[in-house]
Amino acid sequence: MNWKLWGLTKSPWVYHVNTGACNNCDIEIVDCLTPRFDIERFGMVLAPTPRHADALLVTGGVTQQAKPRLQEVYRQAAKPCIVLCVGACACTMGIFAECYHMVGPVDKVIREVDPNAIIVYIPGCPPKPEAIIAGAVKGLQTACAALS
Amino acid sequence: MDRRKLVEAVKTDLGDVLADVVEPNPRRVYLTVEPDHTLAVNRYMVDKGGRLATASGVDCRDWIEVCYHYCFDSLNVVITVKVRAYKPECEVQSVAQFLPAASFIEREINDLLGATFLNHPDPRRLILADDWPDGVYPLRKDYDSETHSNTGRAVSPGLGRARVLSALRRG
Amino acid sequence: MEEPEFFQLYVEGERVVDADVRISYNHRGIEQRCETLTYDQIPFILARVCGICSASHPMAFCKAVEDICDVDVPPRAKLIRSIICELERIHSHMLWVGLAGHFIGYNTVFMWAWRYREPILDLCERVTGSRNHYENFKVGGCRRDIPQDSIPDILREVREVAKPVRMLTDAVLDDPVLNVRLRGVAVLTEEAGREYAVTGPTARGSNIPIDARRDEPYAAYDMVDWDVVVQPEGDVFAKTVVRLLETLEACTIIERCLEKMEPGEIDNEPRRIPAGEGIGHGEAPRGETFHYVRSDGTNYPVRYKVRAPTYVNLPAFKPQIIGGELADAMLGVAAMDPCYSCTERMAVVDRKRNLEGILTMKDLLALSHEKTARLLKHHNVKSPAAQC
Repeated sequence: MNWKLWGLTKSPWVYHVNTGACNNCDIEIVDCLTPRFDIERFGMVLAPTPRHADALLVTGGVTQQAKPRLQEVYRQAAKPCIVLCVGACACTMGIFAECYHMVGPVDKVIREVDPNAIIVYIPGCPPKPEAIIAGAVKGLQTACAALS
Repeated sequence: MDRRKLVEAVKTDLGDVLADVVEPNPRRVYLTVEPDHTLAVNRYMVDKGGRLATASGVDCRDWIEVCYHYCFDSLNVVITVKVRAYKPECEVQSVAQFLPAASFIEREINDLLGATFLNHPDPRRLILADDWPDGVYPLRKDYDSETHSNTGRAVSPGLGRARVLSALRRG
Repeated sequence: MEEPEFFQLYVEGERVVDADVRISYNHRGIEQRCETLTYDQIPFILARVCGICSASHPMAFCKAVEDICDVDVPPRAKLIRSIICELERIHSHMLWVGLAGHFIGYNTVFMWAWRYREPILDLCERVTGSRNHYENFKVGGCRRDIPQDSIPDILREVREVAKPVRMLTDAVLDDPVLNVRLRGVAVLTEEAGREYAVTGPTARGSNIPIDARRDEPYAAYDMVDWDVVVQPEGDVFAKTVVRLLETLEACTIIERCLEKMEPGEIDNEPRRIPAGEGIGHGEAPRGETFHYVRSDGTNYPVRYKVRAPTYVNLPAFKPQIIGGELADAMLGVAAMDPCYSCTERMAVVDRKRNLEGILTMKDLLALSHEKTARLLKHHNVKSPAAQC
């Protein structure tokens, strides 16, 4: 029995990384923890360090200064680690696509480190907490099914 | 002291060092000074009770214009002191020598426009990434985003502008 | 909230003796992009400069460009603008109160504040169509109207929303834990505040009575009666009081604006932006946003300068933290409500013992919670039942 995968589906620990977001997606993510949505009752918890994380919640299109930090966080996370790109900026750089300090959307930056990384896209600007939860659940289930 | 009196006092006290004065409406005054007088004029603004809201750097073809914006909150007026940092050196005395509020913004103008602030207490890079190439100033008009360099051409057309212009030409 | 910033603190034992900050992680290059966008497109990117101040930046933009073309905004549009800005202020201050509670280990406050934020966000969605990014600002007025027949409903909901806000305000101000933990911590003196030219609740909590809504009235702030809240002490408790009382003022302003709304136009549709320069400054929840625009008469600005309030408040963290305890460092930074609100990690350098280490947020939170527990024991105050 793959304990890691079982833990991932039953109670994913997520580590939140902000790579240059306007902070709206981050607020909606923290909103998921608060009483109206309360994902902690499903076992989803914010992990204190990437080494304990089953999934990375990444917001923001990646700025040049944040790129090495994001890649370092991904390397530290225990594999398999599912990357959840929350928001339009993380999926495609969004409205900042033509700005000079942006180096790429999250998938491009992560694939430089790991070409086989599992990446889930949750679009929206910002995605509502319902969308984040739905996207995270669907993404994690699909990813785990693919891994096992 | 009311707004009109303050503006008159400013124009009188600084009279001979002001290269230009523009007052587009009662709440906005724009003064232009030569770089030799920047410290004296900025110190005068602070002593008169102005709060340095921020400074804006603008790439004008032959100089970088550093505009220090002073808000006089209780009088509802913003007085801007524009100092020209002439190219190619683009040097001007740093106001942060006596005003901590100017420290960050002068470092930013240095990063983005290449104006050098002499005697700045902490002239490190602030706003651009550690591995951003030296000497590339993104807010200058000759910045080319595709090559991430300053091309030296007079104007670099932006993507948005080119798109709209071609759409207009199509009719 | 995890916003990327890198603070470096130099300590001797438990005392902070020096501090430094490296920003740049959030720099995207918006000002340069604005030079390639039309005046109608710019508010959309400005709303995303900061997610929490996403009405304040487009509001300051409108003020700046209207400064050049001297266009009159219809009264109904002014009222709508004020309503949206005040709704944003309420949700932002409630967010901050929750985070402040979380930092000192008082998670009850965190959960309650964010739970009572939800009806406010629902109200934002009802009035503008979105919980967070309200794309309703354009030069000369507003893009979308509030239907006149839904105003009685909205008025009732605002009055409903004001009740838990008042309850939370009273609870926080009377709370023995918060009084013990927040008084005298991270003090910003009036003199230091003026040297660093701070704005917003950071300034008003240190006896500096500036507020762009009153000093240069915009939107409907000169059409309704309201008060500016100022506190003299300069510590974290003073800033908490300022924010909470401002939240109550905001509820009042929204009510009064809704009562004043008359049917009418919402957009004066200026067609040309002439050559010139303009300045617009608005009062975001965190302080004054300052925008400067230079136009050459075309559709695109020659230069667009955006200065967020945290940019001037952030350097003022030095006099607040230096001399204090390490356990209070995070609280000191949080009290300014930086628009990158929380630090991912701080590097701590112990000069005396020549030690250097990176403390994660978990470590700093633990330090802060330990201090709360120590203070409670020392002052013989009962810890709150739901503290975790």
